[in-house]
Amino acid sequence: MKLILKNSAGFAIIETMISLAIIAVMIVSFQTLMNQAIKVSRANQIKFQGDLYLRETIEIAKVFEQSGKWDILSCTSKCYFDTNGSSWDIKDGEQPLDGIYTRSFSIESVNTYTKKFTAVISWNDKPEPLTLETYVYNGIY
Amino acid sequence: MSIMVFTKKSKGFTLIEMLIAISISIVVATILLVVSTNGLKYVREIQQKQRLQVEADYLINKLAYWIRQSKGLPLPGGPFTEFTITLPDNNVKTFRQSGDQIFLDTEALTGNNIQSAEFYIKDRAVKINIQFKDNFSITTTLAQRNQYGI
Repeated sequence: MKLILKNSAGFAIIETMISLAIIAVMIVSFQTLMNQAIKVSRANQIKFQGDLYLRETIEIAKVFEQSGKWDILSCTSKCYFDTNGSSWDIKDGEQPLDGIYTRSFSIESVNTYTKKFTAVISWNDKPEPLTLETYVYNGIY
Repeated sequence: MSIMVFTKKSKGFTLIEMLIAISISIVVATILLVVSTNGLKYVREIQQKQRLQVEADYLINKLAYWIRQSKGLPLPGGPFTEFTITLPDNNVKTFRQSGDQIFLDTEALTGNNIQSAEFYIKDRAVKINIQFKDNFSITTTLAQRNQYGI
């Protein structure tokens, strides 16, 4: 049997510092995790509404198709839909929304009865915009 | 090989050491409490936002499903808290906000999470602004796909 004589007068300063450092690392890690989770949750929420705004543009394009206003659904470069109470107008430029998003659409002619409609939305922290395309038909033929 | 440890001087903690240890423990415990309480609050908030997003998605899908196949919408106007659509067989479906829920006829489409709902009829579409509780809102428009209204 080996015998050891040791001076044991409470914790040394180094032990206290190590335990405090471990606790500090745990607290910082937890806080970082929480901050990251909140950031992801907020980004999700922004993307969710962004997608709704994008689909809204497609829906309004369908209103023009369904109401027999296919002829006036035209745009030279970038345009957006504005509402004047009971119906929709087409205006030139991009539309800022909620101080976060920028939305627009463009239209190109496919053939005599079909137009290709492309909706685009982007927001502050998203470098690549989201786009959706649809085809709008002239129901008269 | 077993090891036995003998202490030479074992006088225990002095009063000052005890006080310092207790002070450090109190500070550490307070920080831990604050961090974990905040953490718990954030986790609950995130869970609630997820729940509301799922609910909003379901609601929009239901509205889109019926509005797209409707043959008739109310006259343009709004904001309404309820509106009725007419289907090709002349049956009707009514969406309405009642209290903190949104109903399709008698079926509740949401939990008790709605703060306000506004529906605007514009041409052949319904514009929807819904403010959920907990600072979450959605805005979109849904259009009919029944071109000839038959």
